[in-house]
Amino acid sequence: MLSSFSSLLPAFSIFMAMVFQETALPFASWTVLRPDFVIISLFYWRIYRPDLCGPILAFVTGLFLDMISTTPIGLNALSKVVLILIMGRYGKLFRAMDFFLLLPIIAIFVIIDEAVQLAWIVITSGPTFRWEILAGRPLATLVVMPMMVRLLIFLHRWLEAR
Amino acid sequence: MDYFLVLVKEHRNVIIAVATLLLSVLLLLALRPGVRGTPELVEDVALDAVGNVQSLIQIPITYYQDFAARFVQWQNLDEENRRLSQELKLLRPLGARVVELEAENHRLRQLLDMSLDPELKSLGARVVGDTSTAFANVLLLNAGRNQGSATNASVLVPEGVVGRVVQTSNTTSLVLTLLDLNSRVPALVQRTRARGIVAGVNGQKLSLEYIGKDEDIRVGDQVITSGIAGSFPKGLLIGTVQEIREGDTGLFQRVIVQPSVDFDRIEEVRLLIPGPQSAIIDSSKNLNVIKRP
Repeated sequence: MLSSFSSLLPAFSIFMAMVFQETALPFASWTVLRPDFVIISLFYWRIYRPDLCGPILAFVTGLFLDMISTTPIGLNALSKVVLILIMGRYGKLFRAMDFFLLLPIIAIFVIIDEAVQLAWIVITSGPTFRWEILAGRPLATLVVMPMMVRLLIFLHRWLEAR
Repeated sequence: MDYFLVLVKEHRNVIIAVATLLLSVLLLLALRPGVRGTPELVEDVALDAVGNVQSLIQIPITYYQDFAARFVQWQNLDEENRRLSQELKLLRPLGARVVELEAENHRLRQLLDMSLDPELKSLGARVVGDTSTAFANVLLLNAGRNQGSATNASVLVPEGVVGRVVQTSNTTSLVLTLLDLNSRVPALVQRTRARGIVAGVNGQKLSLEYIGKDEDIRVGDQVITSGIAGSFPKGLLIGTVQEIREGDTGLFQRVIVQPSVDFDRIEEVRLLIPGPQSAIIDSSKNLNVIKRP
């Protein structure tokens, strides 16, 4: 039986991922090559602990992201719920896959997230966006994923040991 | 009733999935663009929670930066000393000119009997969060209402205007940068005094809009804030005209402006906070202080 704190660990790790992702770091490339730690965390917990990471957590995470940026309220919430549903649908398949095959898949998830947001922005405001950020984010996410997953495995083991 | 409960229990996951999807879409459709809509308290908590943790993350980063900067300074001390001595020699003759200009400025202001001091309060802040994406350009500062920050405060760096504060919590402020699609700043071209609106396009350039086709705009002209519409004080540098696009139709030419600020490298900023007597809050007050002869 998990203690209540342990069961909040996925939510806590997603919050920390969000905070770090949105921190201003003194590198000029950080704007363009910024990994999406939130999607990696959502992906990991949805695949390995779907009972602790569902659409409600994804919705709240997205809403939080909307509130700390100036994106329309509900946009990140929508894209993250869409992602979590796709992740859940193919969860068993992803669990059985080799880790290296998951790398392009996480990049595809970042692209789906961007595509949902892009579609809404283009409909409401026209094609105004920075394409280099759109291209840079999946790439950076793919690169940092092994390190991030290693950290999440450590947390996961700690969670299972409780 | 029991049948209904069993049905809900059986399809719990589907119901939650559909409910969260519908709620997201409803929020998107219900709230007009530019209107946040969420309760202020909820946004305050979100900003405070994220901003405070980010401030903690910034501590080791700041230490590292300071150490690295000092190390580089030690290395270049001799060279810098020589360079500064040379610069001082060049600048010395300008000192008298500056004093003369200052005196002239003072005389002209007295002549007009016009108060140009809008009683702005100034506040320094550090950028702790950069929540910019491909679709939004915002910064999070480690100064909030407790430190004296306020909505609509102008945010500046020595190179020029960064943006304005759109939301404050107790310890953080959210800054909408000039690059953001929702940013609109009344501006004028310094050389010709042509008035327009500088708009963000979610790119790295700005667009100067509503400039008539007959206006004489040249590449290299400086664009500054006009001070009207009660947003920014007059005369703050926004950028430089980089390109002029004239269409065959329409009344206006499209002017592309290169911002004077490198938005990827902002670390500390200065906030100009409108006071109760400020012209920024109500620009019409400024008109009242001009005494007609």
